[in-house]
Amino acid sequence: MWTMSESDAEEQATDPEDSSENGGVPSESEVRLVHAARNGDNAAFGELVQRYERRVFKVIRRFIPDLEMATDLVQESFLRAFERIDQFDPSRRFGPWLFRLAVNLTYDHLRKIRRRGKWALFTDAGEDRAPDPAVVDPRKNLDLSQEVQVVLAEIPEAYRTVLILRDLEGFCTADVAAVTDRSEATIRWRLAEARKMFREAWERRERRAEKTRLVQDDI
Amino acid sequence: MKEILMVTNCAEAKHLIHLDVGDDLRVEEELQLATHMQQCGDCRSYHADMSRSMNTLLTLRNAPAFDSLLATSVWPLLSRELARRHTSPRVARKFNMQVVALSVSALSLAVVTMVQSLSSMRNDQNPTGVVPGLTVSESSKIQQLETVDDNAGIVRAPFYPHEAIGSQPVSF
Repeated sequence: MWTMSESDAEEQATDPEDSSENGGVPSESEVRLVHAARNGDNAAFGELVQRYERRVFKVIRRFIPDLEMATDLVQESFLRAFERIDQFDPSRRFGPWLFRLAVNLTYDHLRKIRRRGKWALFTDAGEDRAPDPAVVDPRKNLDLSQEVQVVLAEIPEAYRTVLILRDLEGFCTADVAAVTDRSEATIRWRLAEARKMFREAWERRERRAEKTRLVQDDI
Repeated sequence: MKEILMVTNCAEAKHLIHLDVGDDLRVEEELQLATHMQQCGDCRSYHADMSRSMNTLLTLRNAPAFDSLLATSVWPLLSRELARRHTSPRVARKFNMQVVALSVSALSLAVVTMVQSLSSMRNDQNPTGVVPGLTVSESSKIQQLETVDDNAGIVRAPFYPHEAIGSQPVSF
């Protein structure tokens, strides 16, 4: 059973990197930095970048495994934040706003990839062939976390995001709501559904694996 | 003390279980679920299954592949980019009326051409003016009826070829 509790979340809040991420109101230093950045102070914005870049990178990597692309998206997120900092409401916390930009950019990127795949004249995919029993299934080499990642990818985007932010990145429900621009009640409902979907998808995968094992034993 | 509401059915309990495995229940919900689970074996085993699935998911939480930190800060690159944007003059965007004018003229030309070709097609189909299905004399009779002077108070006969033949214009 998962042992993350409220005290764990509080512990995360005391992490200097995430000091402004949890809790109800923005910290004083963050307000000061945001105010300066809004007035064109690049150094202040730089401090905000250094404060959040690792966390943003980690969240983006949950969606985009490619390191280089994830780094590019981190940069793009901060550039967008700088361009739109005038639209940011300084009475709110900077973190959720920034993460929303980053997650939206990541979504856009993923959609672009999907669209490209859909309309491309040629694809990289080879023709479908029945698996050769003599060749070892490459999926056997996947470790548990990679398998979990594959199953997670089967969950619809809106639900996967909630699962990633809450369960894997440890955001509190209120922050997930702020990042995704949904109400807390919606997030709680999606969270419950997402966990159920994950369990079902995991069980399906286990059943498939069992079937494959049986077939290979027969051969 | 607040009265604990009973969870009435297993579907409701399962929803709470999905939240409970991630410690996302409120105190009163926890009590509701505990009360239900005391009496329901199915929900107890469902809770155990969900906990296992949750633990599987959480293996991803600290997976080394996702734990890798950003190699270097993005700020040096970013600050250069911001400085570049700041110094390079913004290209003012101006609305190009020429494109609109050209498009409108092309569209009008297309419409005119289409209308002309339609009318010429109609003429091509019936160059003699003979109404299909009627003889030449019947058709010319219709034409005569249609050209009666309106100023004389004579109403033009409607264009119903078969009815019009042999009838007189109606005058008031």
